[in-house]
Amino acid sequence: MIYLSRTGRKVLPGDEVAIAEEYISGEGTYEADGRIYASAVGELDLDMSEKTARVILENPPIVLMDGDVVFADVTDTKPAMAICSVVAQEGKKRSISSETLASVHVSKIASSYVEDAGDLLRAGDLVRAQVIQAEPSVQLTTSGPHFGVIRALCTVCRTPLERKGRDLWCTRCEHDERRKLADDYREFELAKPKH
Amino acid sequence: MGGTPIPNDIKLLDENGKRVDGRRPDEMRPIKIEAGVLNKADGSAYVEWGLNKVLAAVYGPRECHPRHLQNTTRALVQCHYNMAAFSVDDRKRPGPDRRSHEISKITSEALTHVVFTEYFPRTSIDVYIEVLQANAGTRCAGLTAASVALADAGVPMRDLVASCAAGKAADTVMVDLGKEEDNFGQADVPVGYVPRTEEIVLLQMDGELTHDEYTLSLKMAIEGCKKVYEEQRNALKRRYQVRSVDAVEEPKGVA
Repeated sequence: MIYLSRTGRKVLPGDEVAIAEEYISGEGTYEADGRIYASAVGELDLDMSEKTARVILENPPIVLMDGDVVFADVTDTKPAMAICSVVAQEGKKRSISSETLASVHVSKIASSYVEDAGDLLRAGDLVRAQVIQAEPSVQLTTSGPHFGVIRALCTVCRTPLERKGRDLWCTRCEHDERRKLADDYREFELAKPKH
Repeated sequence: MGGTPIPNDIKLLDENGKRVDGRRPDEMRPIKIEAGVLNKADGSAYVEWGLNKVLAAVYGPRECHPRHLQNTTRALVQCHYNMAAFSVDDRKRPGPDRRSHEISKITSEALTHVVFTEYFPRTSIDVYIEVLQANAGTRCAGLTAASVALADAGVPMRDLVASCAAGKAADTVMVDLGKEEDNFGQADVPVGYVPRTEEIVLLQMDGELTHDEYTLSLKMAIEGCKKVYEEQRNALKRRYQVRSVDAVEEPKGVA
């Protein structure tokens, strides 16, 4: 998004940034007694076209929204869905500030027909998924080449599985398993904390 | 009430009207605040207030555990005040005690008044206050540090909470009591104050004061809070400048 209206002015919580008659209170601001105040540390953005005053935060809390790409742990599977726990948003250092319990419906696991969610996702898998609904419950999809399992464990011995063609192979018990794989299975890079 | 008897070698107020550490009754101890001192925390702050050294870290808003504590309409501000075993002259027995529970509770309540908790339902905002060195007034220093750490974490809030104490020692009302004045003085009034709305979010008193003394203490504490507030703002401004430089250097996609 291009902010043509960024003022460059740094504001702190409690700073008066605009009058309520001129602007609508947007993200990072609040209205009280006919005035708009900043509610966070950041750069003030007075959008003249939208008539909105907002504060652009450096490191805002992460609230999941439609379209966000997330990493999630599969905790359980049922025939109709896989239940996941969202652990992080891709490219973000902070933990999730909204609901982390999510589900992937069987129809949203892959673009092809899937009989049972447990056929392509298993408890303990780490998946990259996209949020398709954030409220009232978080719904994810793993459909698409970049989405799906990025790390899986053998269902028998919990050894990390290796990719072998379109399937996964356990080097310890020497059997193969199927998953909905992402194109970068076990070659992904998680967000690194800054030091 | 006269408080603990004063040892003969301590004079809380001398002939020139100077206190034990040479301050005037309306003079505060030097205060230094730094924001963003911890890498792993979402927000943090370090406060040196006289000989007090306090570290505050904020994690969250994040999923609230245990889940039965979750509020479906708002976030929970959970403070954990802890004094390090080495923070006082005689080793303090580590772990939570009656006093630290009380301070955790009042700090949580003070911060809940300013944080927009309704923006993050079912979550918890965890604030950890660690007292590394104590010299009277640690609850004020803790609240001051926690408030800066919350702002550093990007938690939306109405204003910063500034905190300062006033009290009475040697029959004189004075601001920001030091250790000797707290131990051998007659009263202590810690105040948490929201400067923009002029609200008081923390008010306690131990000892006895006349009505006039109490009014004067409160006034002096609020004046102290206003000075602390300026220091808090300066700390956040300095932190913002550092962050802007970091943002330019940071590679895209990996935060």
